[in-house]
Amino acid sequence: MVGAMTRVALGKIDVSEIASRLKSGQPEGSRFVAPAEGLYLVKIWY
Amino acid sequence: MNWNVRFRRSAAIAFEFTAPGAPMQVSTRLLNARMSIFRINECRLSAGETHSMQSCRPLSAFCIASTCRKSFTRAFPRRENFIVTRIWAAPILPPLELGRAWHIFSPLDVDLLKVAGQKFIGRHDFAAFAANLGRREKDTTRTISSVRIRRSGPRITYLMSKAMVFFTKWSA
Repeated sequence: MVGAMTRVALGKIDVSEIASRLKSGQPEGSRFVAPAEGLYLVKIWY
Repeated sequence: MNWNVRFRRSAAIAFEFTAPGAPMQVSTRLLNARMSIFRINECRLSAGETHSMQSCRPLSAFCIASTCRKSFTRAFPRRENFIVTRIWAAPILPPLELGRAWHIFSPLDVDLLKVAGQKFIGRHDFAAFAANLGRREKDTTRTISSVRIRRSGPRITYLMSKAMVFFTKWSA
């Protein structure tokens, strides 16, 4: 998700592509996975 | 006795794991967390749990432990997770941010980030965003309750709250 958002911010993909991929629900097409650096789990609610 | 273990890097960022065992290990795998234990107050962790944390790459961290309710078990269902992603969008990454932030050389359009983040809010099937294609989840429908983006100079922070997260490999 962060990777997709960042690609939008970099101008590499369009915002509408995120919406279309959410609607499709199919794991197809190219994807960009953000690295784990900078990813923090802050809190869990039980 | 169950213990509520909290790791604190700074006033703004805190890791919280509840009870020894699976939640902590799962979380460290999920995050590729980098931490070292400076202080453990009456925290009864098994040798394996301590080793799994210590084996992660070092990072300044504090560990605060306290008791949690007796009814808590490892299988206690999680309702919601709060996740933060830090990005450093500048040509040069400060040494102290090494390994603590995702370094992007190009400047980011924060307005576009906010627009893109709003698209995720709600209940969706995130199969198209799952990172590990080799291991399909039974149900990839998740609920994102909020996405907030803050910018402070070159430092951009995504604040994301989501329910029922993939605990295998989430596409960050």
